[in-house]
Amino acid sequence: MKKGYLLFVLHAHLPFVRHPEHEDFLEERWFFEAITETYVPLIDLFDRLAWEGVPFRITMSVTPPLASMFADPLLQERYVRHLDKLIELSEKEIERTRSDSRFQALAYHYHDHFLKVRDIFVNRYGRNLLHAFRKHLEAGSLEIVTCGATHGFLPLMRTVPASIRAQVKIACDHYESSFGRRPKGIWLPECGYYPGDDEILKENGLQYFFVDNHGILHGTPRPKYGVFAPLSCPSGVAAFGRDVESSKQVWSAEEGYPGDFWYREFYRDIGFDLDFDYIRPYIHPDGIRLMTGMKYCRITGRSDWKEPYEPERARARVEEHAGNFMYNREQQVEFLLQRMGRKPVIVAPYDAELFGHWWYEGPMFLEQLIRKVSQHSEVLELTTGPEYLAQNPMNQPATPSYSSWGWKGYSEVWLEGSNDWIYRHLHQSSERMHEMAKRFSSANGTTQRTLNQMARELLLAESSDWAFMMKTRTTVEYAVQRTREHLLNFLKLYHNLQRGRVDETLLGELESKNCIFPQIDFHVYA
Amino acid sequence: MRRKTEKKEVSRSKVSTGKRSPAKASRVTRTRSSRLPSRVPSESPRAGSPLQVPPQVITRMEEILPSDLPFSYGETKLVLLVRDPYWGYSYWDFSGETWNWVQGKLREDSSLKPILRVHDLDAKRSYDLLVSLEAKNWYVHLGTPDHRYVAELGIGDGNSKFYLIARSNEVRTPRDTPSDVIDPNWSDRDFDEIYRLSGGGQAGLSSPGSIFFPRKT
Repeated sequence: MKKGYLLFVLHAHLPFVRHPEHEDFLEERWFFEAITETYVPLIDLFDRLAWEGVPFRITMSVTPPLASMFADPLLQERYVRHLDKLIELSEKEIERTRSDSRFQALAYHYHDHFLKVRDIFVNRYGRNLLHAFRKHLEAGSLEIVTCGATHGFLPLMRTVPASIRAQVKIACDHYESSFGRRPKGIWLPECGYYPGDDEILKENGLQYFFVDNHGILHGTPRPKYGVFAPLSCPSGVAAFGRDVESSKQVWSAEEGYPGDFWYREFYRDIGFDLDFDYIRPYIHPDGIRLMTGMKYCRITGRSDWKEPYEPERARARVEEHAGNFMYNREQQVEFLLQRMGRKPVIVAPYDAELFGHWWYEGPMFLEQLIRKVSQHSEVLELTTGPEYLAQNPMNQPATPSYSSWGWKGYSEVWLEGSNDWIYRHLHQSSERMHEMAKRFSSANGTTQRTLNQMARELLLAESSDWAFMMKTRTTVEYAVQRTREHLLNFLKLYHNLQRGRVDETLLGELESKNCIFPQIDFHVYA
Repeated sequence: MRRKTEKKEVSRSKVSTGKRSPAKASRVTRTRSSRLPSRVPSESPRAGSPLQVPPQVITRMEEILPSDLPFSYGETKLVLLVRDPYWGYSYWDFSGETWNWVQGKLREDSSLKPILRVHDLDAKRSYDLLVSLEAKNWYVHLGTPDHRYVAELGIGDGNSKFYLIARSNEVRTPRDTPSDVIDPNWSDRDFDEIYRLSGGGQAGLSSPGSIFFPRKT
């Protein structure tokens, strides 16, 4: 009999970035890099564990934009082209580094990795990674949860409740078309919860969601078990709270594992370090240097002095860290069980891209952790939301507090000087969408298509990613441009609708370019 | 100790150091305009106190297909959003008719100033903030966690005169401490301990986007 549960969550999300109008679009690389460095390594480890018969339970969100990109033939083709270039680069690197065996070994290391990724992507899963996730979902090892349709930050949409409903309903429908079943749980975008949102989850058949630690701790009435048991909201939907301690061990720059000096240094990439003429074919066609994914250094220390990366030493550190993480959770669980008189659940959520993209050794850590917990721990049991709730149906009735997992814990990341201008436009468009959906409830033909495309444009404008980028000063121009583009597209379609005219050319162009949610039904906004 | 003489470069070329954003970084682009439209419709001003918010007015501003986001949607309204347990954010907009009426009133009576009146519905008290109407948005110190608030935009003299322009939606600030409400069926002998064990009081400190790496998106 195990003494407590570990609920490990990976939040996998990217905004919908697809630019058929350009041959090589910088921001599409976010998706390509994430496939090579995070998604395929995760799938590979899930496959390996399944093959070996190691039981595991991992929860993962695959957001609708990300799932849409996985299934998109254009992006699939572009990814293979991108990967082939990387393979070519790694071949050149093997040659270039022949005089130094330490670097040449690393060039071979990357070359082998890229070939393996290609094999998994192309041959094992026919270029569509949704097949891989679905396989593990059906096996019961991977609990896939949904998210907001375009990762809209729900607490700032409250003025037009129809827009929250649309984010949730469209996400659940899209999940069903991607995975062949209805979702049981949801990762609220940015963990953003406002009391009452659980009612909308309930309407969509969802059983549970996650909130940040203070969402539970400041719930009403006060939570008897702290974050170590979910709360049952007035709607009956369960809210699981994030554990701070396990988060810090992985996230924190000071205390976190990823900062270990033997781990690979993220910021030293040959895309920036090598001679321009040599690297030019592998960076942006406009000559913009960017990360290639080939990085030869380890973190080494706090200075700029960097030593070559040694995969074997890093692997040994992974072993230690996975062991340490498990040990700490075991200690936590043993103490809590005694204290609570009930098996505690430790909820440990992370951005999926931390594993592999930022923290290169992350997938290896996860695999080691799963193996250790599944095979050696007498204390911990990996679980998922539905499994936990089936075994622990009685939970404290309470309403969680408004919260998010962003800096300071509320809405400030997405509502501050750099990004507050977007809300008047988003809200106005949402109100108009709501009005039009009611007014044209029996629309068909091009009117119906116009309303559906208006819904797509509004949803794309609502992605919290744009506000986040404005706030963090990364790719701000792109974020502003995407917000404006979708809002303007919405306005144009709205004006045409108002005037009873349809610009077929414009409508067709937008449908083909911003093609997320082909099955969308605008009535969700009524 | 850093040994410069032994330093070996990974690359064969000049190495640039320091942390970079993985994608092309760029400067902040602000799209917010700070001007009001130079031309506004010239309906006669409305009188009365408090001002009845006029019905929605569809302006002519958007007759042609828009090439930029509208400065105004031509509707008088005030929206209040909650940022955190203490702060809110409000934005407002006017119909041309309302704008003209307000400007007329301000010209006519120099004691009037634009005011954002904040009502704390739980403490049953209100306070006024002097605002700039042209700013069209304002961060508001609401003050108390777990209270309900409504804001009103208007013009007033700080005493009895107050002409209402728009009233906001009602919001509730979140708690920033545990609730005092205890369910007898689910009470703990030492809540402070379970609160501490749960990482209480550290809200936001562990936020993923800020602690480790700057997130890519």
